[in-house]
Amino acid sequence: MLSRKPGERIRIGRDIEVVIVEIRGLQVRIGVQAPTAVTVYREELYRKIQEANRQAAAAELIPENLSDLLRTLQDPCESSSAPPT
Amino acid sequence: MSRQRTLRSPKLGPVSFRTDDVIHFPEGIPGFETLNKFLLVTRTECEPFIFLTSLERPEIALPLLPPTLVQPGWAPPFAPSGPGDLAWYAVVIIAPNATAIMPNLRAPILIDLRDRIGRQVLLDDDNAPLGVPFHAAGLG
Repeated sequence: MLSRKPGERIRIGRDIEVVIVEIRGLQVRIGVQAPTAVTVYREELYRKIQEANRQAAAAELIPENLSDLLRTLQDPCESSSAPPT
Repeated sequence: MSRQRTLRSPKLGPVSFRTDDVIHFPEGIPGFETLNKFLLVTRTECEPFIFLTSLERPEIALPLLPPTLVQPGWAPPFAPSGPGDLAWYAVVIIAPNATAIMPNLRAPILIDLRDRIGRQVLLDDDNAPLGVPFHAAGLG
C-alpha cells in the first residue's frame, strides 16, 4: 500500500506510470501511462466481463431452437407467429 | 504450411480446420486469460450464431452473434487504423432453460481476419448492455 498526494506518481515495473491527477470529494482522477500493448481497465468492469464470458461458455448443450431465440431479442412482446424482421 | 486438422468439441462435434484458420488471442479473453488459440466455428443448424472455440480447451465454446443482429444500427467503436479486415462479434449468454439469450455489447470481440489476431474490447459506454443476469452474477 502506498500513499500519494495529487500530482505524485507511482511507477510499476519499467514501463507503467500512474499519476494521481486530482481528488475531488470522493472521486480520484487517475492517469495511467503504459505501452500500447498493455490494456488498462476499471477492475469492476473487467470482473463483470469475466463473469459474462464464463456464463457464455457454461451452456451445456447448444439448444436446437438457438436460431429461434434470436427473435426474442427483436421484440420480446411480439407473438411467436410474427414474421422475423 | 497450413495443415488440415480435426478438433473434437464436446458441444459441436468434430471440427475440421486448417492451421491457417486459427485466431490468436495474445491476452486470451477475460475469464480465460491463458487460452490463446481459437477457431470461429459455424454449424448450419445454429446460424447465425458462430462459436468461438478454444483449441487448448475444446469444451470452451462461446456463442457469438454479429452485433448488428443484436442491435440494428450498431456501429463499431472504432475503425481500422490501417489496412485490415476487422470483424466484430457480441458474446452471447444462453439462459440455462434456453428461453432467452443475453448478448454482451459492452465488450465485443474484435478479430482481424487477415492477421488472424483477436481480442475482447471493453467499452467505456455505461449504456451498452452487458447481458449478465443480475441475480446469477451476484454483482452490483
